[in-house]
Amino acid sequence: MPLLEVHDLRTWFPVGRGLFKPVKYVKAVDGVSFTLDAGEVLAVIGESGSGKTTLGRTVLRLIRPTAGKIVFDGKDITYAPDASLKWYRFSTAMIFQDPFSSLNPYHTVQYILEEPLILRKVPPQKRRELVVKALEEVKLVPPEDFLKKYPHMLSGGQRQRVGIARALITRPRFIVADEPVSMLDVSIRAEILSLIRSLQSKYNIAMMYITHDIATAKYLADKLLVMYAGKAVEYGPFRDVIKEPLHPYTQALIEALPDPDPTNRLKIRKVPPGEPPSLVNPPTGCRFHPRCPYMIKGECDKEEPPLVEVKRGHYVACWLHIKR
Amino acid sequence: MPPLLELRNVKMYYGVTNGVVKAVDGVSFVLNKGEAMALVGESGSGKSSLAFTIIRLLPRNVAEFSGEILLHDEELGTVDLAKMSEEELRRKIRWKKISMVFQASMNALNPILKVQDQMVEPLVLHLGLSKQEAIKIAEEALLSVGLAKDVLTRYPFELSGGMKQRVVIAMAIMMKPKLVILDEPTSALDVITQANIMNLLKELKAKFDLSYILITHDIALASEIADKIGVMYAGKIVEIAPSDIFFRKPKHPYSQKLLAAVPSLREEKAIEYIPGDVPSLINPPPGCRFHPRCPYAIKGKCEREEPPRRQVEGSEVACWLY
Repeated sequence: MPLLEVHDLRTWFPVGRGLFKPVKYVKAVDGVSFTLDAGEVLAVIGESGSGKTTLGRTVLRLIRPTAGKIVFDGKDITYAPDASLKWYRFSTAMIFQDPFSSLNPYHTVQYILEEPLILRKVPPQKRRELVVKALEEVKLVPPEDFLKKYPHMLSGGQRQRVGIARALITRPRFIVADEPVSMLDVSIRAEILSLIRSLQSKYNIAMMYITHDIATAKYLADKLLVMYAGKAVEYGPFRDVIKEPLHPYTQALIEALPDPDPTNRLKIRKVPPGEPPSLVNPPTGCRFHPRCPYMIKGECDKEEPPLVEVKRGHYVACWLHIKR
Repeated sequence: MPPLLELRNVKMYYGVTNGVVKAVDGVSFVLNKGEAMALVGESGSGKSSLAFTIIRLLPRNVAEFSGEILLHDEELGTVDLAKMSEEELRRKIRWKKISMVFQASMNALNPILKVQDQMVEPLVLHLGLSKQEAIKIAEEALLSVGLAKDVLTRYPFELSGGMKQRVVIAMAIMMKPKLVILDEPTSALDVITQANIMNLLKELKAKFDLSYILITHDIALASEIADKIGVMYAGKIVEIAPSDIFFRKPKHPYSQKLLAAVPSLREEKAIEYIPGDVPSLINPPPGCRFHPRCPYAIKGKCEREEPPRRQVEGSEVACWLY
């Protein structure tokens, strides 16, 4: 049995509510399914506004889903009231994107790391021990130098280490890492990624890694879920999807990524023009069709492609790959 | 190609409460006409400060500013931007000869002013054009960045991130400058939008024979456009080389490390990282500034004496190994 099972999850936000106005919805997550085993890493890839962050927050039940099902460790938590979710909060954690605004500037590193332990009623002696160990694990050494520091005294990379230490200090079974390295320099990204990877596998933590950069996901992910305008367009084992991306959008995401190569400057990249659509009025049919180079007229713009398994474990939602 | 911009031993220090920040510390390089150079380095290496220094937008607390910034121009001849008056810079250089796309500048568009008002303002105020002329120029610029004319009458919040970035690029090229300085022009954009913007920059470069100075921490992105790479570390350029040489054979240990840290989707390689942090620019390490993080540091040499920049197989490198 997988640790986490998400089935046809939908998170819609009502907008423009008024007495006589029809309620419209921003369909941020619109029918996404996946499963995650203990210790497994799922990369969720998509552009801004594709709903990847909303998906992460809904799975953590920071947002109430509109429809669908979330099962964690055999328990259905989809609509469980907040009061009965304490056990779930205690077994999950989140690493945030922005290390500059996700740490309280008035708290010392020690307090930032201690707070989740205080909530779990860990005795003070034990807390101090765990904090020192957590700092060592994220390579903020010697830990004594960092305990009394405030976030503003740390560099971006050091702050993100504190963020990681805070997420892991309670030994969660599942974490959501939302773009944990996108605000950092490329040179530090590598270090933070390998740190997350080593701690994640050491403690066998299941993880959702949310990012718009597939290249960084390669160093972490076992599975890949590609989102476009609230929908999952491709889902499967990471290496299989990268080796043979089936959806034109996944292909574009990969094509758009430069490798350091001096011949890049001599060529124009073949990427679709335009930007992702509004989630209030998404395009009819396949949501990618207005930008898709392989669009089949009368089909892709009319009917929405379902997510189907084309190869073992490799799912895609594209009419090019669905036999009718 | 004739040289367009020449920097000779440019220094720009600024004072803060606990000392003097040596943000740009003796930088020299030559940029040719129609050439694109990327300045790469980690945050805090002084790349943005160098860009601001070139167009003389100095911080108010500047402590030292010296060196020569020579612009070779058909119309003005050779002029030293470091010695020009503020008035002259505004009338003759900024926008017309050198323009800049600032970091996160798409978010600097005023949300309550129409695009038209924001594009026309510098033309009318600084360059004394009539409003009619200015609007015509703005329209043309928008067309050349792939936007419709009617964007002029829209407000920034009606535009997507990619469109706003195009507006900012249109502003940078509208007076047909020779050199455009791009400070992290795509850092807030998604990968596909980023690729579209890089495509646009390549087209504009060919069409208007532009020179670029691209400032970025992403070496892979730099390879999208740069003919030449300059690597900055702690206020200094430690290596400068043509792209074809740089990406095949980076010479400075710092350059090698930077390249090894780039995650790659296509290539199977273990990802490496540079231990330690960028040094403080107030008290940089003595000798070679990279020596505390360098795996090849030669004891008794690298921490004592600063290496000069020398020609090595087509690159210029400042390292005692060569």
